Amino acid sequence: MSDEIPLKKALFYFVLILLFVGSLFYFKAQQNTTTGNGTNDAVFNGDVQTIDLSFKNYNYYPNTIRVKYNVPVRIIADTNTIRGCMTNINIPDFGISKTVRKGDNIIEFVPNKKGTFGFACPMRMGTGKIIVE
Amino acid sequence: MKKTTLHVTGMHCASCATLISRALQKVEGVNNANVNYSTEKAVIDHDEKITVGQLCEAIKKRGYNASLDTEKNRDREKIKQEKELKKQKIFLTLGILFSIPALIFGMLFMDYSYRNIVLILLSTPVQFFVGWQFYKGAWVSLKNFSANMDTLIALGTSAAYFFSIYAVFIASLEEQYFEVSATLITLVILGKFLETRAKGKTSEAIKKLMGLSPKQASVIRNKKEILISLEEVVQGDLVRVRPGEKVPVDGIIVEGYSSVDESMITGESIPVEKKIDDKIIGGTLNKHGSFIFKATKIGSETVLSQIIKLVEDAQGSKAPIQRFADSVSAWFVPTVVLIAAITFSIWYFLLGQSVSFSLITAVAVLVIACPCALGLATPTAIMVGTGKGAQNGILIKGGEALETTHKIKHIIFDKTGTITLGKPKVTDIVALGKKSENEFLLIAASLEKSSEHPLAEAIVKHAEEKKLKLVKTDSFKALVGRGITGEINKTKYFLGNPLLCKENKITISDFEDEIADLENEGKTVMILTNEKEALGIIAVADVIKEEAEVAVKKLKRLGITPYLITGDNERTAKAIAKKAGIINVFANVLPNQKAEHVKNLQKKGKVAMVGDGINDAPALAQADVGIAMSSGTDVAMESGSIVLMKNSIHDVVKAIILSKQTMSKIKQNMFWALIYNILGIPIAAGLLYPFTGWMLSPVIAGGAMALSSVSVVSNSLLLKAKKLR
Repeated sequence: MSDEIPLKKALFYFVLILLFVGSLFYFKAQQNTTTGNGTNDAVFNGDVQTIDLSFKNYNYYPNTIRVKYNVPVRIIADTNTIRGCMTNINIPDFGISKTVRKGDNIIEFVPNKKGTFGFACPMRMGTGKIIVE
Repeated sequence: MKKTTLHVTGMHCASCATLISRALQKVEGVNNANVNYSTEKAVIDHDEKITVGQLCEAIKKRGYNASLDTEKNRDREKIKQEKELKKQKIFLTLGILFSIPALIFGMLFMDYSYRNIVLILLSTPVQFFVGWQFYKGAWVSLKNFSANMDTLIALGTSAAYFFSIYAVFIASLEEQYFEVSATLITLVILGKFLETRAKGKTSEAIKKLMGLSPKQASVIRNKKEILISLEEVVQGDLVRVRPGEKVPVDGIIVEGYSSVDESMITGESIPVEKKIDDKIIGGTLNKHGSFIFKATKIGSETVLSQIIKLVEDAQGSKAPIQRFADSVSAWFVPTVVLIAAITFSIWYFLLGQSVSFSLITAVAVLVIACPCALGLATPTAIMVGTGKGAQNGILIKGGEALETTHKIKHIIFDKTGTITLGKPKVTDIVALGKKSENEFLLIAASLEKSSEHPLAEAIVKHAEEKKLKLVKTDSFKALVGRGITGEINKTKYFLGNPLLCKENKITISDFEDEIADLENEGKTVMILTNEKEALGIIAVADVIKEEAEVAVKKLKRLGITPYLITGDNERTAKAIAKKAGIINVFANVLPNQKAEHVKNLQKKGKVAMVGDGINDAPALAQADVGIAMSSGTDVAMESGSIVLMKNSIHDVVKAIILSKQTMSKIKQNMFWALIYNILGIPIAAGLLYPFTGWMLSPVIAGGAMALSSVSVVSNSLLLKAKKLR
């Protein structure tokens, strides 16, 4: 038995791992297309804008959310579909980090800056954008 | 005086070798100690009364380890290595078997009530059984107040694992990261597995070499031909080799003739004609003829065994550039731990993110920063490089030699046998006075019969060709640097160079012109005198190797200055040098002065010396790289760090090119190893987040790390395809 790995085997390992890493990236890429997970405008209910957040296609749904500047936002998380580590929703730009569960699934904040801000779960498997205009 | 070879472990650089060698020489009774960092061997000349134990003690006192370098010990070491490799393979398999289901369960089956139990059951064995080596390694490193790769992995995976325990059992969160820790450990183990293999000593090249010996041999004993196993062949056995068969052991042909393919040993692609009295090498392939030879060397003494041992020692040997990798790791890892801690703090305290978000980010930093591939950069390239050399008949004795060779700026060639064919022939005889040419030749040859000088052989051969019967010489004496002397029929004769004549106060002014002419043709002129007058001159010429001129040109193109060194006079030396394209000549150098010349030249830069492996030993040892033209039979005895099996000057060029290719491969590997880390750390820490929203999941980080390890290995293997031009 030789210790040196034949070139063929090394390349095989290489392609295998590349596929593994690549597939993870691929999943993420799928998530970030707006088709399927749609851009949703927050529904304006008078003095608060509401958005229903759930889980679809391996990501948050919707994952691009438009909100109005300086109007309080309320995100209602659907704990039936949002599971596992995705229950920990983080919106760093607004200091939000909440683990949602049944009975405690509302995230509220005031979008006091304009622009595009990200939100994600700890593993970055679920990611999305909030556009404040 | 006794010579002992010890196997020394624990050295991490060339200065450790110097330290040990000095420590050994301080021991009373030790004459000389030569310690080699890259082959991990110490060769000690000492008094009989000094024991191996005492020598090992002296080394152990300095904090290193030493044991006798015997067949048994080397085998034991090999077995230890194989066990280690098997262990890593088992760990890897277990890791994969447990991680894949863990990953699946981690992402799906959210409603399965026993999900957490399953995940814990799958990831715990990986974390603590497979991953135990990381805890152990981290602990050892911690005790020495430093941090290494194990620290990173142990920290990262433990953070994920124990947070998950807290999340599931204490905080009843839905989050857990068990599959992360398991997958990470598996991916890192892959890198370690590759590293253990790369540091092993059995490359494809060795495997091929080992397969060259046939399992059986046909020997003729008691007039009967029998088929016996290779191990049963003894010295003196008459062995028959038929067309297409492999030669079993080393020997000398006694009957028959054939052409033999020696490419697997010397790299020489053209089959070599072999006839009676020619040496035959075990492992070579007989072509169309048939012959019987007498076995001279068997078992571990054959050329093949010696080559295997040499290449084995070279594989997995250390190279000084590894010091760079080690020193990088030394400060790199603690810095990364610091960065991870800062990352966590910023996300958690400053940006108000959850513990899990901040923790997982920090874990991603720890993982992507792991310098695992760095440990692969050098050994993989050295393994492939030395293996490639062996297949081309270039035996490199270790990583250190490989590294130094590419820095060579000056190269000194010995003349006879190195630049020249080493088969001098008599070209001119000018007899004076009453003696005829043949009478003159008879005296000269009879005197030279007792001499071992290659020039002597030429004269004797010439006389034998003329069918002259040589007469007895009494009181033969070799006068170093001048010639020889002896008595024939009570008359004292001297045969040597003009210096000898001068010493004996014999004038040669009459033929000074003639001598000058001959020497300017590159011939060596010797003058035969008796005690009173000169009797004549005899000129011998040694043809330079055909490839010399081209090879020297290539060396100059590589930026290396060639020199010629010889005991011959300056005129002859310069003439020969000119034919080869060498300008710088050291002439009239006595054998024991060669090393001095090498030493002087070293003041100008790194010096390589090319010469006969056995006769030029001191000069080869003095040089930064000693390149020995092999005698073909005693590879183990050859001095110098590189042995050329084919005796070709082209191989000198090839060796240097191989060294440059291997070194650049090592540097490429280090680049690939580090670039993943350097680019990955800021991304993992979330530096790009504000701008692009990019972040790195720890699992992807682990995958990238494994990818860098495998890409380093693949890159090294590509070295095999490069041509040595």
